[in-house]
Amino acid sequence: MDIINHLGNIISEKIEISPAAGRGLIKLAIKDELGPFKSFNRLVLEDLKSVILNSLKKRFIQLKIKDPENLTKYMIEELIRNQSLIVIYRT
Amino acid sequence: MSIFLEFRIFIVPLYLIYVLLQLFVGIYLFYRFYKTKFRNLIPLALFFILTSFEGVMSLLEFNIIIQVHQFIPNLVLLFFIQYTFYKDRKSPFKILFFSIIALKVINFSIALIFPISIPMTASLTINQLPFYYIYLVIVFIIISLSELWLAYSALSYYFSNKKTNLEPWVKKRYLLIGIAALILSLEGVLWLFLPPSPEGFENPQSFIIGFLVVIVYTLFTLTSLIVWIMPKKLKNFFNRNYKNPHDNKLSEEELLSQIRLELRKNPE
Repeated sequence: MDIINHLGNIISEKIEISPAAGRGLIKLAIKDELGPFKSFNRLVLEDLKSVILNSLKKRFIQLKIKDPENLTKYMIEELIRNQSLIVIYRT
Repeated sequence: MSIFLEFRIFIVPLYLIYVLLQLFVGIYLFYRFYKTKFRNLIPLALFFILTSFEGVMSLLEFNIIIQVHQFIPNLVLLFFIQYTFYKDRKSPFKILFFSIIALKVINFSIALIFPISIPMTASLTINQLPFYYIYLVIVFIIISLSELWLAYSALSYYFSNKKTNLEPWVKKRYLLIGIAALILSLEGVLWLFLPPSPEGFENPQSFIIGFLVVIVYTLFTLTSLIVWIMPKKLKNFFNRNYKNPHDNKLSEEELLSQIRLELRKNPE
């Protein structure tokens, strides 16, 4: 869960919304991409990558956030930089 | 009773504790792999199990098995670091992997040509001594490459996230992984001071080195135990001043309206 909160906090800083809204947005994108039954605790790096590249990007576009392409790229970089959290947090 | 015998009575149980705890952590990590399906945990679990196996072989004095197998835990540790910290990122994995294999081949060849081992059990001529020190330096490098890479990866993440909103127990886990790896890297440094005495650990200096190595092993395994099997009470203690973010349960529509509202308040 911590990687999701962490990514949500990064979104909130980048687009200047509250941390709770940022976390909500990433959780919404996960549900869009992987369905409502996929447990957040079972997500691996590849799952999160596809969430960011597909459904999160779509959400950025729907919300008319400036430069969704670059923002998506930044989120992927942050995910890769923080990838160890997925294992270190859940072991 | 000689002082060495007295120390031996103390060292062997300590070494046994190390062997058993390594095995315990390894089995626990396999259990966590089964639960979480994180394949990264397989090499880490293997690292602990193989070092425990090496410990048993060393107690039984099967030196040839140790010679052949000694570098494998360092190799599997590289896989853990690569797939946990550096997937899809630039990393020195390949360089380190092939360096360790090349160095091991050199060391194994030295040990085949000359009667060199840790600890020494045969005498060396003056001409053979340089090879003994090359052998020790290679052991030092093999141990350092993987351990220092792990220490660097964990500690650099810890320091770059020290002020972020991550849960404190997670930050502490990174810190302790780094410290444990630094502790274990001391093993390589200690072996550099092992004299080429054929008396093995009966030699006073070798005995002290062996004793310090067992202390290093014990500190490493105890730290690893805390890192990987961190009790809930300890997590709560680390988190004592941390407030978990509480998110209100909103429907999709409510959440999106909230975000739109916040975006209008803070136009980019």
